Amino acid sequence: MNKLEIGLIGNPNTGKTSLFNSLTGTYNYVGNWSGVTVEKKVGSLKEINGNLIDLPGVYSLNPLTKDEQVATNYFLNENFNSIINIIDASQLERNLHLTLQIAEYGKPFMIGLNMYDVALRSGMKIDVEKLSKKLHVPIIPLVARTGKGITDLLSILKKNEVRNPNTKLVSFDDEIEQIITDMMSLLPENLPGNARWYAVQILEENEPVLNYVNELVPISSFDGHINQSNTFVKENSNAKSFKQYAHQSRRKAILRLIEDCVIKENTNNISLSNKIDKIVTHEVLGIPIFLLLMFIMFKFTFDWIGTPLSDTLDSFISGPVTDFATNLLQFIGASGFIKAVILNGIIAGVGGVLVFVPQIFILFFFISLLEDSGYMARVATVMDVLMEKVGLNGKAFIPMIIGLGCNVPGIMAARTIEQPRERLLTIILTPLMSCSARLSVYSLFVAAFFKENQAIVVFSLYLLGIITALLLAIIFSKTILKKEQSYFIMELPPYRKPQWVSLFRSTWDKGKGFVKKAGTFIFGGSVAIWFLSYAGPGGLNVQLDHSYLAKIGGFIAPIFEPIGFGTWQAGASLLTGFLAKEVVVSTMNIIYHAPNMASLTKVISGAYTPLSAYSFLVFILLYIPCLATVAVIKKESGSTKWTIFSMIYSFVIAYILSALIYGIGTLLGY
Amino acid sequence: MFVNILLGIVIFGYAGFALFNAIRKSKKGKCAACSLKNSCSSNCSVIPNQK
Repeated sequence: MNKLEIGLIGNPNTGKTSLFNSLTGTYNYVGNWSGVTVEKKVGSLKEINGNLIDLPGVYSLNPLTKDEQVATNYFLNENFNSIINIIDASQLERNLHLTLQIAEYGKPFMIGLNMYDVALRSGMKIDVEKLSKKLHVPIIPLVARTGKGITDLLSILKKNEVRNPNTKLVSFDDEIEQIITDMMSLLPENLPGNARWYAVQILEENEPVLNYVNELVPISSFDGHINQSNTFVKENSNAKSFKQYAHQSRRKAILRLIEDCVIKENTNNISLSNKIDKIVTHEVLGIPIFLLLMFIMFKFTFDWIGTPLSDTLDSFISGPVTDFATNLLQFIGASGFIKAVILNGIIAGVGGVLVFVPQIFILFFFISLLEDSGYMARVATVMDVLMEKVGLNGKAFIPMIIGLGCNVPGIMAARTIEQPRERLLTIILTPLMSCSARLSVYSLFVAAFFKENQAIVVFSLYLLGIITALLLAIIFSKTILKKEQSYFIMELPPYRKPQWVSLFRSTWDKGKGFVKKAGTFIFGGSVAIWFLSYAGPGGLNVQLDHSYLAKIGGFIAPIFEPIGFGTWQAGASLLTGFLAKEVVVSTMNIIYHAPNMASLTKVISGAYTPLSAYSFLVFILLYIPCLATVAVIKKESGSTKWTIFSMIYSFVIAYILSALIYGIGTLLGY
Repeated sequence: MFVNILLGIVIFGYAGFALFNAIRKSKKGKCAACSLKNSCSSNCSVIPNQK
């Protein structure tokens, strides 16, 4: 039997990715907001010989954005067997627009009616059987998050009961039908999908379809039809274009379907969500509430839970682990060189980064909680007003929030932004969001210099990142990136009780990269840095101040003199930090030869003052995107010029801000 | 002596490999950063630029 290829399509935030994970047994990023999937993803189906393709969420097959094109191009270019259309049962009316377009396309498909529980709770009773008969396709009620209905869905796929849909659900006026019939006779015969669908999409001026058809027959042969239909529409309906007319016609068909198949009962459940929304999306209170929640998050991460846990882990690594390694090395008769590389290089470098794992996971847990509950989508709408003032739109806030975990997926999420200039602006500003790697540097420094105010200092750095991004957005959008206005529509998902399993998975998913990196990149980096600190022009085992590392760091150190940290140690850390920001911590551990965090804290408090430490942290926050981020900026912007620009401007801003902070602080006598 | 040479080779060998690999992957960018990369066979198709 040939391998099946099945596409998964639906509106944004209907639970496609959750379903994808259950059907394929993989784990993929799930967030309770639109636009998490920006690229189609392929996974092997469980129990069935086939692939499932997760397509980005779309409202229509007539794409507006880059990520939406992925779905339309999939219909045009891929030879799939069937489609699973996932629908949010509580938003039936809106979701069915896409369903009708898929039905018009005519290939076999089935419907997963997700969030069936939410619909029931809000008083919607859907007659699944009747709806299924009308559409001619199987419909399975689902609760994808808990896995309810997944077996039924799999069994339909297994038994190959996916059927050809009713393609005649939407009808147009006779004149338009005539134009469509004329067009169908001009279209090539062996098109994948129904010829009528192509005709309608051409009239809707769907760009990927126009391009596709143009390769087979000159698209100009349909110009007459397009004009004729637009004239008819303008004269005989209240629509301004055929696209709008088609939308209205589909809407009529949908309302008929809903009238036949859905019974609405009044309940009070809906109002709770509305009540919460009134407070959290309040135009004045919205942003303070968000900031307060963020602050509480940092309190947990640093003061309340995270730091005690990190301290415990630190004493474990510097105590039993180091002792064990020392004894073992003694026992096997290791030479001084091997002892030094393991104890001063690997354990210091990798261990020094690993101790921050608890804090990072706690922060990610709270970010996942805010996402999964549906609150983050509210934050995006609240921020929209502010974002519009600075020349971005509310959608840009989502890449930025994702960027708080790691800038790389954040920048990729910018694909959901329609306007190319706004997208570019978001791509170059997202690296200012403080990622988890930078958190480890903050943790080290706040423990040394701001013991009493850890949360507030870190909070101020995160806030500084966001504010800098907003201010630069104003400057860039008025100067180098002037743009047309675009609008932001964000759908508010229902609030929901977080599922522990998916919450832990999503926390792990965000944080695992950090742990993995410690075992690979940080390990390699630590050994290399240790070697540079061990060797020098004078040979091996030289004084640290005469090592290659000191020479390299010392070479660039004078640049940082005016901003408070002109030491070769700072220079070397910043240089290695370009590869990955956590490496700054490893480098410091190795350079200062500190056996544990407590003693490192003591040593660095000798090398910095609280003021120069804060200036250093601000510099770390902004100075340059790490290597992986630079690579993704290059890929997503497609421009070397903008990639170099994003490296240079961030360095300049970091320098100016650090200088201001250090200068003003010195004047004030700190 | 033998132990020392062996440990030296293992440590520096792995460190070199890990560094080389990580830098190569970082440069690749988006596929390397994708959570699905092990089960994914789509090779992150290139999307045509929007007009």
